[in-house]
Formats: sequence, C-alpha cells, structure tokens
Amino acid sequence: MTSRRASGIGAALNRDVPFTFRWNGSRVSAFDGDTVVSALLAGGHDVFSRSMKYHRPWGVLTADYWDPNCIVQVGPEPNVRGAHRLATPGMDVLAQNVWPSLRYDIKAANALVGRFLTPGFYYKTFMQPRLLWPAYERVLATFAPGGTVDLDAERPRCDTRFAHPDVLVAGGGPAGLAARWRRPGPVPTCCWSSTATPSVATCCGAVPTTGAGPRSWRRPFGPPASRC
Amino acid sequence: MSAELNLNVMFSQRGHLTLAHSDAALRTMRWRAEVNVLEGVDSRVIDAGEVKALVPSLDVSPRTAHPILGALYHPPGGIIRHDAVVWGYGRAAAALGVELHQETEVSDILVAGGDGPDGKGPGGRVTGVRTSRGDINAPVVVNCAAGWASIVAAMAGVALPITTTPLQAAVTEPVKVFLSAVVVSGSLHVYVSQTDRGELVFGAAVDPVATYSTRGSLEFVEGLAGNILQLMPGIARVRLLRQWAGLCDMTPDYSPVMGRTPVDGFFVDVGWGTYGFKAGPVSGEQLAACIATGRAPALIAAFDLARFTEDRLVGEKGAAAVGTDAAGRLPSLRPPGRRGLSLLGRDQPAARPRGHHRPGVANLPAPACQRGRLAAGDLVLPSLPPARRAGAQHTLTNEFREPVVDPRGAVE
Repeated sequence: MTSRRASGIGAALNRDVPFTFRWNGSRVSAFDGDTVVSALLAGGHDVFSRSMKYHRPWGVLTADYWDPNCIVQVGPEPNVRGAHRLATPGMDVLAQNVWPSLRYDIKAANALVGRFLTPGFYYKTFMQPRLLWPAYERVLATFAPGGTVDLDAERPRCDTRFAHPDVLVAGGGPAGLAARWRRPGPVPTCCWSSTATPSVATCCGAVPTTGAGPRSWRRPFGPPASRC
Repeated sequence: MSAELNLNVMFSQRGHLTLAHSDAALRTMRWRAEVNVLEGVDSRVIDAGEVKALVPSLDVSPRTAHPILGALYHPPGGIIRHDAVVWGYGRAAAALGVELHQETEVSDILVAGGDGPDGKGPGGRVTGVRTSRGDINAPVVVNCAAGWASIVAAMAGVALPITTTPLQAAVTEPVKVFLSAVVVSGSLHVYVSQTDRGELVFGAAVDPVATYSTRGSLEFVEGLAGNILQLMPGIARVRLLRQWAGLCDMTPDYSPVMGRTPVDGFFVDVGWGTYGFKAGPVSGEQLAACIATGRAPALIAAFDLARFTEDRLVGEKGAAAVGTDAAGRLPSLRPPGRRGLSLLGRDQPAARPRGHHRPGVANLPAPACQRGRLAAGDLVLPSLPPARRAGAQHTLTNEFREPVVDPRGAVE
C-alpha cells in the first residue's frame, strides 16, 4: 500500500516505525511522521470529504492546516484538519457528514435539483404551511455540515478547577501543614502555597496547590481533581 | 411574520431554559414563572431530571462546581434568524414607500431656537438632518441608533444618560445538530444555542468597561469556555470559529428610553442595552403612535426621557435587564479573568458546604416539590422575606445577586 510514495525522500518520515490506523473502518498503513492525509494519499485514497451542499467528492486542495477538503472526524473529535494532524497508531478516522458512506453519499442527489437550490433559497421556501415549519426545520438541520460531538467523551483536564474544601489553609509551609495536622480525622483540606511542597503535603492527606495566588488553583500534586 | 414579510425568518420555537444553580436561584425562577403564568405565558419550573431529558448534553450531576438544580422553562421560547428579520422589515418598509439610505452617515442634526450653542438643545425645534450626502429637511427626527445613541442625541443638544459597553459573542465550527433548546445560565454568565447550520452560538454578559471598541478579548473566550464546559463537558473538543462584539447602550435603570425629548420634533427609541431585538417591532409601533398623536401611548409612557430627572426610574423585570444589572454595575468587584472567587460573592453562586450538592426536587422548597408544576395563584413570595431578614444581599428580581449563604446554612 505504499506504492504511491517516492522512495528515498521525505525527511519528515521515519520509515523504521510503520503502524496502521483506521479510515472509515478499513486499515491504512502509515509511517511515523505521516499526517492523516499523507498516509491516506500514499495508500491510494483520494477523496476525504464531500462538499456541503451538493456533496460532491473533495480531494486534497492545499494539504495544510487550512485545507477545507481534508476535514475529518478523529475519534470523539470533530472537524480535525486531516492534512495537519499527525497520524498515530490505532487512530480511528472517519469522513464527516456523509451517509451511508464517503463513496456513496445519498445527499449527492441534491445536485439533481441544484438549479432550484439557489443561494439563500431557504429564505424563500419552507414558509407554507406554517404548521409544518418545525418539521421542515428538523429536516434542514440534518444538512448541517461538520462532525459529531461525543457527549460521553472523557472530559479533558484543565489547569484550573473549583475546589470545595471544608478547611482552607493559606500557606503550605510548616505552620500551615501543622495547622492541618491539628485537625482530627480525614478532613479534605486545601493547603495553598506559593511554593510546592508535594511530598510532605501528599503524605499527610492534604491537597496542596501551588500558584501565583488564590485565583489560579493549579492542578494539585495529590489525587486528581474530579472536576475542572 | 414569515408570511407577512414573505421571507422565511426561521423563527424556531425550540424551548428556552434558564438554569438555576442554587436554592436561591430556583426560588427566583419560581417567582418569575408565577409572573409569567399570570401574564398568560407558557412558563414553568422544571427539575434537573426534566432538564436532562430536554437537553441531554447538560451535565446535571451533583458533583459539578455549579450543580444544575432546575430551570425556568419557556416552551415557546426560541431563536430567530435576525438578519432575515432585518432584511424582511427593510424590504417591507421600502415597499410601503420608506426610503432607506445605506452608506449615509448622519453628521449633524439641525435644530433652531434652542437654548444651547447653534440654537440647539432644550426649547429648540428640529429642522432636519445633515448627512454625508447632503441635508434632509424634516420636522420630525427619530433617533433609534443602537451603540451610538448618545452621540447622535448630542448632535441635537440632547444629553442622554447612556454609557456604551461592548457585548461579546462567539460561534463554533459547525457540528451535527445535538442541541435543540436554548440554554441560559445567569449565574455562569453564559447562553448557548445551536443553529440549524450546526454552529453553537455563545454569549455572556456585557464587558466590564464602557468603550466604543468592538474588539474581542481573550479574557472573554477563556471565561466563556470555562463556564460552558461546566455545563456541557462533552463539547470540549469543538473549536471556536469566530468571536465578535457589538455595542450596547446602557441606561441607569437598564431600561430603554422612548418618546419625546426637550427638543421639539426630536424623538428617541434608544438605550435598549442587550435586548432590543425582541421588543423592537412593538416599540416602533408605539413610537409611531406617539409621533402621530403627540402623546405617548400607555405602554411606553413610563419610559420617557424625563424619568431620569424626575426620579421615576423603571423597575424593568426583563431577564436581559437583570443580566446587565449584575454585569454592568459590579464590574470592578469581579477579579479579572476568573470568577472562582468574588470579593463580595454577589455575582456568582455562593460557596456551599460539602454534601449540599443535591440536584432536583430534593432541594426544592416544599410547595414546588410536592406539586412539581406550579399553578397560577401559587404565589411563592412569602418565602423570600426570611432571606432579607438574614441580611442577605438579595432582590426579588435579580437572580445574579444571590444571598451570601452563611457556611452554616443560616440563610436557607
């Protein structure tokens, strides 16, 4: 599947590290350093998306971050720039806004009635009967471009969070840690300090935080916060 | 409206939710629902379970920083294609004989006989408008500019008690439609809806500084992203497409100014702050009646310019006016960047003791808990005075100024 690659050139690739990822369910081979689209091109694929209105097949245009034709879904992430994103082993890449498949897209039938779909046609149509507008709207919404949002995807980590301690000790030095020790029982405590004292504080069960001030609750060294 | 204007304005009545993140906010929602019901508006308070059923993308779990306890739900609320509304009105007005001069700047308003310089100001009479394309003589001039209303009024020698503040918004790249309702969180200063094109539209409160600049700020995007991810963690991987700012003319009571001015023939319909779009059509009708009859109709009589000098400020109860209240009046009290800590705790939900994050009906005061849905006549006002007696900073109409809850829960 690497027949389209020129041999001997391509300094960005490490040909000693081959791997595979998935494109619309099928396996595609790639080398370390490949972008999603460079690996697909090398594998003989030449259509990566379809146009928004008539669903005409789109190939590579500029092959960089701004390439509007190479926008794909990567796992739970929509609208990924496929010509810019590096391929990784096991990556699950899908074409966006096509059904049932990228090759056979039923909405390509829009082109058959294209002469009636002039720019802004929707401002002059779908008005009668009024009661049907909600139904019209539901159909129109299915033509929205873009990828899909995975609402169950794991929440990414942030550098700030909200904390709800029972006791907040400002100052994670000896006095602050001693104040926490004087409190009996496993009390969730935030020790805020301008310098990190991770080992001591973690041992005593406190959640130390460091940062420039109270408005930047940095990620603690202790157990990860449940919310950010 | 679509039929009358012969243009599809895409009025989408998809439901509108105003989230409550605290018992105090929930109580305010119940009060607002009662007022709405008495006014004949389909409106009710729903619990977190119903919120989740309507908007599955919301995180209604009790473990969030600002748990969703319930919401004020307006089923007829929704969104509209605002450009189409303006196009439709413009075309319909032109068909009725109105001349619209685009790309024509008003450089002066011609006034004669006034007390001020050049015959302008109180006691004068308007004679016309000077524009970049020549003078236009007119016995009646209406200032309905948004964003620069006070500058335009000053051309006639009329001073308006208006400050101008940017309001920022942002939109994401399109994703497949998953959000049907409009979701607003006053406490988190954010609203979100999704267009039929798939773009998520975000907005927040007005900027904390008065300026005519419409630049977007990184502070806005950071705060917006943090707040919206509190509500919808699933959209963390969606990219912003663009952000922009518009200008809002804010009056001291966050209510518009409509009617006559001290300059004869010079009328204003200005100061709409963040919510002029919804009331624009009816205010235009009312002002036309005011001009034609010489008397302000009852609906807008209380919104005259003289109210600011005669101590008759309007207690506007509109949600948008409430929102700008908190953001506009207390800007310097908010730490820059983050809203995690507030010096007074007035513009954010008060800190709560651990173990108090129970969503849904468990936190509802008894009447709504038992009935689920409030009926007209179930006034819940009596539940409010205790909070005031406890010294809480709380007003009936302002969901953003929630009481500063004592750590021991004394207020609740």
